[in-house]
Amino acid sequence: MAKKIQMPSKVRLMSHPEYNIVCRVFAGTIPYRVRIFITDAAGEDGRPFTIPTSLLPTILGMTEGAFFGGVPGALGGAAGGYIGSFINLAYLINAGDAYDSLTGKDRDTLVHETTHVWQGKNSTFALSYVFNSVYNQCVLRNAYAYTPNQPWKSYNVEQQASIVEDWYMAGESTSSNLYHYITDNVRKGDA
Amino acid sequence: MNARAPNLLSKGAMVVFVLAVTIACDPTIRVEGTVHDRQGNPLEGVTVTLQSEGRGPHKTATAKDGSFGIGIVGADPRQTRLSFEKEGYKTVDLPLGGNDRASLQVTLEREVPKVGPASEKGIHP
Repeated sequence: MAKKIQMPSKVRLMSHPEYNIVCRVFAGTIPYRVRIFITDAAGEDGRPFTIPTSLLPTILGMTEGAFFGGVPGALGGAAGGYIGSFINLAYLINAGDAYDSLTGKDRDTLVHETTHVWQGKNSTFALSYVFNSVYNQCVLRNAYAYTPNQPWKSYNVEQQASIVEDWYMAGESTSSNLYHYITDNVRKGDA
Repeated sequence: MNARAPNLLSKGAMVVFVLAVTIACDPTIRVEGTVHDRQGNPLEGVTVTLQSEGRGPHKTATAKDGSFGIGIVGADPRQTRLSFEKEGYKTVDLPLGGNDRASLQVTLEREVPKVGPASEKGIHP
């Protein structure tokens, strides 16, 4: 039976060890650590998802300030929530059961979901990757599978996240046939 | 103009957003377990590879106690295989068979050393 959507019961900033991993992959093209939050929320069947915090008022009916009230150093509290209603200030990685193991057995989730953060930060509209993901998951049988060596821009947001995840999970090799995407696109902020 | 229109529009937008986020969730495969030899001793340093159709291989190695955990985001468990390799042992290759959450106990058997043909010296004293 399908598991229900899991609402967040815990929220924290991305940890230093987690940030060290993603900085190695994305270099200086992701937001500051204090702008990336991790929660234990999850979609159906415990699936992780990443959203810009500007979506919070719509989804949870609360401001960012209210949501992050208990997180030290989070966005300056209510002011961040108010401003964040208009522009996107931060990202929320909803990791579900992987909340405590993103530097261990769930590193694939950390890198995949941070690619969505990267897409949000390096796109004109932070929300555009959410709609790109929805569209491609609706029209394609497998939105995540890809054929290597195609132009980076021809991949949908989930294929891009899969490429980054696969490169990382195969050992971050500089001789990988995916490495040129990391150097020529990802680390240049070419979303 | 109908005063309720903005309210309905706002509710409609909310439904679209919630639907969008629901669909945008990433399906994941998670496999964990332990690897040991026939005598039940945990095997450290076994290369565990998760390979899905249309995706690159994901690799990890077993810890000192033989445990491992590995995952992949967005892959189809019906088209995913798991292999266990260590020098001196026979490779084990398993289909996940549609399970996106699996806990496995894997036994690796030692490879039988290849023996060359008996030498003439060994046959005639």
